[in-house]
Amino acid sequence: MQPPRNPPGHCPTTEHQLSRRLFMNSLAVSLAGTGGLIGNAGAAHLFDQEPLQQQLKAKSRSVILVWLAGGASQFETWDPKPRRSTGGPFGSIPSSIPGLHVSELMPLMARRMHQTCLIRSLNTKDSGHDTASVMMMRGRKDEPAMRYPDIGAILAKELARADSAVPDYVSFYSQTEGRNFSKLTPSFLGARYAPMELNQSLMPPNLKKLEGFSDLDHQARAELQALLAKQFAQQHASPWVQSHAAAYARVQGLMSSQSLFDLEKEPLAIQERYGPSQFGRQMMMARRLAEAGVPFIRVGRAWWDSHGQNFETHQEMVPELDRVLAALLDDLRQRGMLDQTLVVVMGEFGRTPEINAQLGRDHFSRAWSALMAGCGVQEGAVFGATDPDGKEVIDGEVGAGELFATMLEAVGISHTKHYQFGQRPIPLVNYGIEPITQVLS
Amino acid sequence: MASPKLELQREHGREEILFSLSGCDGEFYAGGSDGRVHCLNPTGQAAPNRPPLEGHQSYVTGVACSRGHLWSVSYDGLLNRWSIESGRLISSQKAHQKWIRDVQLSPDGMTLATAGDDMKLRLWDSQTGRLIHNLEGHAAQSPQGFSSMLYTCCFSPDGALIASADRIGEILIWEVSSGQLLQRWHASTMYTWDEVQRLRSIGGIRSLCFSPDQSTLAVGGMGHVQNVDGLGGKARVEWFELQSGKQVGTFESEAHKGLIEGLQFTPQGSHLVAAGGSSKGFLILLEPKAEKAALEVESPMYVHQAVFTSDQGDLLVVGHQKATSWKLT
Repeated sequence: MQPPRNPPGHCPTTEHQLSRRLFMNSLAVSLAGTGGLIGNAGAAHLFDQEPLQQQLKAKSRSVILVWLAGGASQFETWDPKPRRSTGGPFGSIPSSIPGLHVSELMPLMARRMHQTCLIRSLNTKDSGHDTASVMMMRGRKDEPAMRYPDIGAILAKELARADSAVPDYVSFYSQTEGRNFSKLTPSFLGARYAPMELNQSLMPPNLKKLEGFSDLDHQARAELQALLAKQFAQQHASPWVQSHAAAYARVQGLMSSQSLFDLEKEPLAIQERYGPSQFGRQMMMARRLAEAGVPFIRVGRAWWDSHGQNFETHQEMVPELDRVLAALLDDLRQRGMLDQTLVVVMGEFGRTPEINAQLGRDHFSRAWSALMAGCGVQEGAVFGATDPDGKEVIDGEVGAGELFATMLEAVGISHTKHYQFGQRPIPLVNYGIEPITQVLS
Repeated sequence: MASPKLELQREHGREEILFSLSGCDGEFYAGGSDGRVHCLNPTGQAAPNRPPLEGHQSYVTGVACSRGHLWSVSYDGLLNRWSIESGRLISSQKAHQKWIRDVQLSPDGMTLATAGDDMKLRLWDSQTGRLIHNLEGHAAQSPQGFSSMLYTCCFSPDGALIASADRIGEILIWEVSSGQLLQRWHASTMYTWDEVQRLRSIGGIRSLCFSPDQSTLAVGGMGHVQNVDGLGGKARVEWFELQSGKQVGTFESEAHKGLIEGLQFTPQGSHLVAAGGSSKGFLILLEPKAEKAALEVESPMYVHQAVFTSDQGDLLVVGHQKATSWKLT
């Protein structure tokens, strides 16, 4: 039986009752955070327009973005067109949503589609890896004088917990191809909201204490550092000093959460569910991080750019995606986390309906798909449609901005919110862009 | 001896991709991406009054014919048997649980072999449709834990042996009568696994052909690929000596990149024709065990299969939305 749904854009209140302590801590960090941002950004002033209560509720939510780098094919995943000339050789299978079929390569997700919200009508109008990656992560194109913060940085700021010892934004991307295309950036929000990028390992480097260095030694050093920092701050009061102290405290917090990054702590049955692949282990780690309070985690799986042998590439990669996604949804649901965790599956674009001479599909942004599940989005919803050959969107066309606004609203952040950068108000999404209300719960 | 020449004679555009080709009593049958089997004349033109055969739900990747019957296989897992005269579907059976990549008939026409991505090579009685041997020896998964694929199989000229080859470059030699595995070779260069940049693979052995004297087996694919987004490896043939199992020759094209999808000897048995493509198609003529090509020409399309239509060097070639005819002199 499904748990009762929540009011639109809100996660269950029963699991999110804020304690007085958390409330005060949140208030404190909200105010302190403003000062820190001024220090980091140099010129930025931040203010919130939404009621404090709503803001605080949002602070126990997380987003896991599954980034299909290089552009997975919508035909071989979420929007199959079997027996059409554009459809390729794969069949489709019925899903747990009556009337909805997905690629035969996704039997596990087919049985879980009633837990998800599928958007089949993205027209994002950019088919370049780097420019499209940036746009999808920032929800819009940059301007000559403005580099916008990406979704991870915004949600790190908006959802960060007051007493968190863990980072606010973590990105996994182990392959080298396309790693830097997204140019992840907090921009004017400041380095506090930059991602911790774990590209080589599941664990941040240098997290372990030195050999022969006891907890007592560690504590003594911290106390000495705190004393010296306090004296320094009294003599040199400035936002920069304050920021330095905050950063130091976070490093200490990270070191204390060493066991968080140890996947061997997971029961074997859970490890088996995600599978032994690097992608599976990163996704399992993403769940652990979300559970520990990390607001935004991106797991990049590269590289889907199948200009040659598209079908074999998807034959190889989609079953892994199917297994790992299904494991994540099951895991989140069984832990009661799915209502607090928004899962988004997308890349920078989809792939062409036309099949080229190498049996490949090329870049295509005119009609492709993304999947959402969990916090703030409807279960079992399908939004938009493409024509029978998958060449055009014929219903519910939306772009990168609308998807971005939907992610914000799903976790309780108003898409009409502004930041202030100097004298300029910076909206979280461009003016005129609206969320896809039909998919919000 | 004059240098060989290969000249394009006719070119016919098609809506679909043609993956497979087999000749039967002067007519030629090609399996398409539209799930149909198309009858062509020797120039590649659609045969008049021969409507396409409809009975598959996915790409038709193999056709074989003998004694008035045509067999077709498809990614839908079906092995279909047709009457050539009437075009009627005689039987249809689920032959593999995954994609079927190839079907071949033994030289005497009595045994049918199918190769599928369930990694099984299956031998069938062509008269009754009864399964004779279910040959399992190819690994189901690549060393990196992803699903492997069984692309191709080929009978020896005397019909006593059959070879099969897969994505990770393994070649297995089986005794047809007993189903016993006789030899296992490895052409590892044909498989590229990119651990660092893209975390996926490409390649595999796509074609096999025994020499007419049955002393060697030619193995076709492509060499190492720098960027697995496309078919950027050099077209490659490796020769294995049947008796010793040793690799006795390697050809890598300097002129053409991509997979070698089809291999067959000329009617006189003097040369091997290798056909395939990447963004462009090619036809390559090789002497046995040669490291250099006798001739390489560009095809107007990616080539999936080529078949000699006469003993005088007429060649029918099918591939990406085209059928072409060539003259080898």
